[in-house]
Amino acid sequence: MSGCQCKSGFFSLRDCGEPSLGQCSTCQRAMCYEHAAVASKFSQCRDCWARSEQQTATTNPRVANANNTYDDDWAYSYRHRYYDSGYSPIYLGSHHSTYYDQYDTRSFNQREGEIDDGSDNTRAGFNDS
Amino acid sequence: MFSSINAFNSLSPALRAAIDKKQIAGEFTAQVLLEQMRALAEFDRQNSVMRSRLLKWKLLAIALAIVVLFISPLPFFLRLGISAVAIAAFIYLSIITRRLSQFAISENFGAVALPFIAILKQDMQAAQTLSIRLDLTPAIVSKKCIGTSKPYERGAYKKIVDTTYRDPWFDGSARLADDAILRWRLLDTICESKRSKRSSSGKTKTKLRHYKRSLVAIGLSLPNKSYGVSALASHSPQQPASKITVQHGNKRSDVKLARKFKAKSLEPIDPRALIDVISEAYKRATPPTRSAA
Repeated sequence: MSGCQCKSGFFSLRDCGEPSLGQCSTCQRAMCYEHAAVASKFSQCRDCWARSEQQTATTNPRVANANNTYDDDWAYSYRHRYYDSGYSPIYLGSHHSTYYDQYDTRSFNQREGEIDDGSDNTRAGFNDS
Repeated sequence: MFSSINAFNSLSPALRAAIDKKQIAGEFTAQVLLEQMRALAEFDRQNSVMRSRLLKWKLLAIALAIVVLFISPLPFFLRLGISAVAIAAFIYLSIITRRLSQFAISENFGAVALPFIAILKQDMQAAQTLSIRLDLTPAIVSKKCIGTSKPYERGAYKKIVDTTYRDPWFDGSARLADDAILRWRLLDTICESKRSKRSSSGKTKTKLRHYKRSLVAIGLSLPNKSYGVSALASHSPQQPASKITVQHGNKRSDVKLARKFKAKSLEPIDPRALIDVISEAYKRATPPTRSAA
């Protein structure tokens, strides 16, 4: 995938695919302007910034956002905590990445080379074969 | 002191109209709506800070008037003059506070609607629009009153009067990036219970209690080409039970969910309640059936 490798969405995830402007200093994925965390001065992707952010370790949006801006950095931070609290998002894209495996993402699309064994296991991660 | 009024005048005409009408309604892209909501939240924060400051100044003015008039050793006419100025300041500050109170908006706006739209934006394409109606008036206002009980007696309370308010404060719909259509509705029903009892010293004491029932209802219409929908319950023991219906159509399957929350205060519900109800609907999504895929 040549564009941004981050995934957009909250209840369901999708590929971003925007042209990449740089690389995340933590996960080395290509990231576009929209997926670069403003709070990290655009050095990290929003996902990595959310994972490294330790100060707001709460799933209560009101507590986690003292300055009332509710910007995209906040949304990604909240998304990370929400997924960690048990929600498994659905992935509807086609560019699989192990980055989101920790969320037990539900992928509905088969990857190339995969054989449908008829099982109902839809909760597997991207590389959970 | 005038910063809040100046801040109001510096808002965009659309936001001034929203405050005047106490409602945000229409169709917006998520980004445009969020920008408006953030500006409104910042204005409300400044307004709230200013009102609490004015309250302190009002208390100070009335305290000064009492101290100077009754305790101070100053000459009588000087005491009278200072007290008159303090009372005039109190009246002036009261007028300003009243004016600023007209700009006050419901806590639900900043505590629930704003974070929810920020989350929903993540699931929308930049050009997609959402349609909302967001009531900015507080729940306890006369136009939302739907009934008052006859006075009755219970236990130590000799007179209880219950007033019920119905506040359908937030509803809307949006087409999401995955082609799902989400509709939501939040309705608060508040019972304000005014209870009077006579103490042992013979004085009548009155307490005000609030009981709130919040209904969070959503409808999620999922396209069959991307999703199947499981009719089986995926009930989490940590979450309260929801009323759920699933309807399968030719092109779309609809999941409708409603959940009720109870509280003994007027505090806004946790926005996570709304997010949880939507995610519960998404938990029912399964891979599309072969014929539809």
